[in-house]
Amino acid sequence: MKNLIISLGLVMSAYLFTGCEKSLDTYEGGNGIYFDPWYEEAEILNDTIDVHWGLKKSDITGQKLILNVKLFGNTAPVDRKFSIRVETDPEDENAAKDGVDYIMPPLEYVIAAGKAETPIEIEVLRRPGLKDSPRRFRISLVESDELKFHFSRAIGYKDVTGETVTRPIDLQRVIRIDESFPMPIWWDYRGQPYFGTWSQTKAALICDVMEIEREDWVDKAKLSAGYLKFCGAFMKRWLDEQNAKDPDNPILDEDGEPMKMGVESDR
Amino acid sequence: MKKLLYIPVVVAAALWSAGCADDIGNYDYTEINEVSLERGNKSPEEGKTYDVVAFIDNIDFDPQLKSSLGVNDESAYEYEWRIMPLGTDWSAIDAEEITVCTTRRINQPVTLSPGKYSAFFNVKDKSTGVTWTTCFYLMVRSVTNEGWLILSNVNDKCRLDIVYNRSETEDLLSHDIFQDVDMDLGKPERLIFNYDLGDQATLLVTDKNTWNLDRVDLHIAEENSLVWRFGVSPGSVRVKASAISKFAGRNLWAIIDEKDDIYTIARNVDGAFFEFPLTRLNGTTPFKPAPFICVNHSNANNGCNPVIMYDADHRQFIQIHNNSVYPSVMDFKGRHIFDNPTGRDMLHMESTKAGPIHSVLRDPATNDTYFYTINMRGEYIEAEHWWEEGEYISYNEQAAYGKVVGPEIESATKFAFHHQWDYLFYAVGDKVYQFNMATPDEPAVLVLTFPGEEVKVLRSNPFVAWEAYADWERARAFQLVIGSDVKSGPAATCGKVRFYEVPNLMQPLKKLKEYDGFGSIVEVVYKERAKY
Repeated sequence: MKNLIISLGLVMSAYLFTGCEKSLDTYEGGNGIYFDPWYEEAEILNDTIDVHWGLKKSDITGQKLILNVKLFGNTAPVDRKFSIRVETDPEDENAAKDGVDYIMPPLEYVIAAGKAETPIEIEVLRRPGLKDSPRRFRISLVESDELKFHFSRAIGYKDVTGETVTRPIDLQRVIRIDESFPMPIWWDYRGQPYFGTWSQTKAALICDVMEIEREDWVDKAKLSAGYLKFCGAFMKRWLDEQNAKDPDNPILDEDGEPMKMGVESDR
Repeated sequence: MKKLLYIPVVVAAALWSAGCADDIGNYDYTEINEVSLERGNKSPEEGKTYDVVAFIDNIDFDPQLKSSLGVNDESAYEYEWRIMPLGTDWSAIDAEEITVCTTRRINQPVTLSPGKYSAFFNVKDKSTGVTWTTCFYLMVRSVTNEGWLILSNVNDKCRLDIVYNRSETEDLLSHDIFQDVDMDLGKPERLIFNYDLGDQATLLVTDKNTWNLDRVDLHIAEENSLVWRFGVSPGSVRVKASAISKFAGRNLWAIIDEKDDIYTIARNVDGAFFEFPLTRLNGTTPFKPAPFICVNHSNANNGCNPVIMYDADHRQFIQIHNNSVYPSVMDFKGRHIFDNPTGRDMLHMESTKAGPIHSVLRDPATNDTYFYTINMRGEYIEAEHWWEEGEYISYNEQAAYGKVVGPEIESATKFAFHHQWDYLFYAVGDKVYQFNMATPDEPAVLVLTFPGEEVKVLRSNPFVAWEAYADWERARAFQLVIGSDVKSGPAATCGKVRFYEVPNLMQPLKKLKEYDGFGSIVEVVYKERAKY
């Protein structure tokens, strides 16, 4: 019984003392770098960034991407260097080429003193014929003595033997370049009644006629439902007018059939 | 180990014993100074709502404190008057921003936007730090947020006056609220209120354009031109008729423009526009609409078709059906008392709060005049199972029909139906006649004359808003509003507006109020208060 009382006393004393402690535990391991999992205000769920040139007007031939490299660990009073590699796989038929698909960025960077991230700016180019032959390249972080790989998210995949293995995804970014004009996510619930069956050709024509920026078009919140409804009605009339001018050559959709808008625009 | 088993028993026994102990305490109990307010006109009363009019009234309280310990020195306390919109999240409030006064007495003009506010008078006892609060409410109104709008013409310029009914007997007048507007608004043609508390759609139409007046302060500017509500904005638009269908299967805003084209906005679609003219029956047959659009204002008919209009070319009632974009010929269910097409020309059509839609038509062959009453019905059909959604069905009923007989009826162009009794009023020159539709064989009788004047407006004004109107406020829906011009009067002051109580049994009308000094009367309409 006496021992028990002593034990309880010790435990209470321990709580008492820890309650008075004013300092917090801080990270004391090594410092590292990784690519920011967030890109353009959205978390990317793998290591690939798609560049859809179809979202830009045809006279635009270059655009810049900003990839943020984040610090894992503590900031420092001095600049800390790291480097990147820009690479493609030798046997990749769709490998991007320096000067054709991108401008080679600087390979040496620093996490500046007192800072916890630094941007890498990549200029991507639009080569002719991209529609039939998308391109890709990879930007990989390279460890330095000061900044190593301590953190990355990972995804699972099945290897050639069928085993599920994981690989880190925040130590590199694959830039995939194509000419596609992706279907906006709102199409599922608004596109069909106003514009009918989805096609990239139809979407591009709507944007051209209505003078809508294609990136605004695919943005889920940029265009109101009322405006899209109006676009459908406007395009229906526009198609009717164009086809009436040249009835033998109606405006065709990707399937070779005359282009049509949705049922709610049929007026 | 066996000893350890005794521990819970010992602890429980100790707690049990402690529970039985008397609380001998170790506090010093001292009486606290309880502060309250003397009841009276000068103190805010807990829970009471005070009606005030912005920029006219003052918040004026001179509360006298009651102290349980007799601490009556004013400097013994700190004071705070706080006002915040009712229902505002406390966490989103900056206490300093809502503190409007820090003295015991408050007397300052009301500069708040119209709406309901929570107000607090806090008295903090400096010696104890205890704060005593009196909570009350302010209903802030403004003379532009609601009231009778009187549009008149002064030398082909717009003049808008407002009569705000502060109480049943007391009114506030705002004269010529457009006098500082820089734009040339043009010659006034009509003023339309669409009975929607959100969009409001208070439309001023002139020979130059249509503006959707600001719903709170009625200001007019280029940005509230109605052209911006079109997908393809016209240079200008002059609306002939407009209505919003709130109690229908589809929430539509329909207009007819100066080219006799019909446009609609689907108000359930975010950011929708007036798109393209819909002036084809079933999308195929062009027609010219009469300049009237009516809707059901009664929630008892929820789910009905949204809009009723009249096809002036084919002389028939038409509707926009819940399931259609284009107008179609109106069909009816139940008893048949008139034909459609009618073969007659529409002179007047109006909606009522109770639901019936009245119209006046004239036969082009005989010049006889007829009244027609239609109900647009909606009915909710329960689903078979409680967890399934039912559906609305919509149909129309012919409610009343008959010939209007009475003096000068063949030349009457101004009409107003009473929204409680079966009366039709019509005006010719300086005379107003009353016709009882319940006894259609009896000719209309002359009920009012205004020698030297010309009646310009006859109106029964429905009060549609879901508002806790006082009885006297609601009763205004059953008054007859008459706007007239003194023929020999100056252009700037020839207009008069009178309000009449309309008793049952065709008894004489009783004049309730009269205002004068307006320009030539164009329209008198009540704008209900905007919601926030």
